[in-house]
Amino acid sequence: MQQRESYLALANAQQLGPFAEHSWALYSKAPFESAPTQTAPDLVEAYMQARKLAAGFEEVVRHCASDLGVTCRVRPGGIKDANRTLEKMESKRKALPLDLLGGTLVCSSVTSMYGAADYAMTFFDVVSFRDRCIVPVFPAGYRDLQLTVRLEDGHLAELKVMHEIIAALDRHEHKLLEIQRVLERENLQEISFINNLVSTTLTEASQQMYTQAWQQALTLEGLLNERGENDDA
Amino acid sequence: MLKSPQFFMYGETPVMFRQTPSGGIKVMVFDPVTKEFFADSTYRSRVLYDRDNLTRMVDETEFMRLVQDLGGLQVA
Repeated sequence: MQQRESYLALANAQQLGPFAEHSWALYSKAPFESAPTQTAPDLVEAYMQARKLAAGFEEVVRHCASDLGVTCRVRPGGIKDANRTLEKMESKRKALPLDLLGGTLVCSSVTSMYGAADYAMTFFDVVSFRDRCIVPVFPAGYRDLQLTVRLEDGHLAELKVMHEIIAALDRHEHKLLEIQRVLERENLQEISFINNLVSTTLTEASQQMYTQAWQQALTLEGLLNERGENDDA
Repeated sequence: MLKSPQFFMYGETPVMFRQTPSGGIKVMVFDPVTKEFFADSTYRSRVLYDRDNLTRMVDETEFMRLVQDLGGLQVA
């Protein structure tokens, strides 16, 4: 559990002062550090649970989005790809992932993002909240509000709340990432100078795009001026 | 471009980016079973495009300590 003062300071540093207390309240209800683990005893059982619950989860995410007047999307194919799941488990002491099922609420403003997270707290059994607007994902700068929700059988699923600007950019960034993944797979032992130049440039482009997209979101919200500065600072 | 080595913990896995003499990079990953590093470039994008809150950049001293904690004898 984090300390309130340092949490609020991080929010202020990200120009999210007006949402700091709101975010803290959400975090206090379900700190991500205390997130439970999947109840399934193994990966096969977890996938069987996910398969059973996928259609119902999609329906309830759509219902939640409809209530909020926002758009939503669920994972293509409904369930997380097995290769990606195994990759993740390699580096987490084989802990079962919490996002075999995943849904996203896409909001048109930062204000509505926190409102959507609030509503999700009443709509779902939320067991974990992580504000990745206050602490963006390292190092690219991707931002969302990340919730873990408990479904039937104790199965845990991921619910993300995204700004529409970040959601739109995310689709372009995925293409840049795919180029890099191909280069890496074709050069497993060593990435040559030219391939590294391409990969590094694409990574830097991602960082710049997320930074500028988020600044635009904050500017539209009146939290930054058109020069990307905080008038209150 | 990478000038000096970069050290990361990706979940429980130590990962190091190291420049090669020809200006490319080698991505070295610690295997907790063999207790040795192996080259796997796919960890580059896993580390740099992490959406699972796994990546943590560390300094060389902490990296070496963590590798030793996992039973590794030396950094590749």
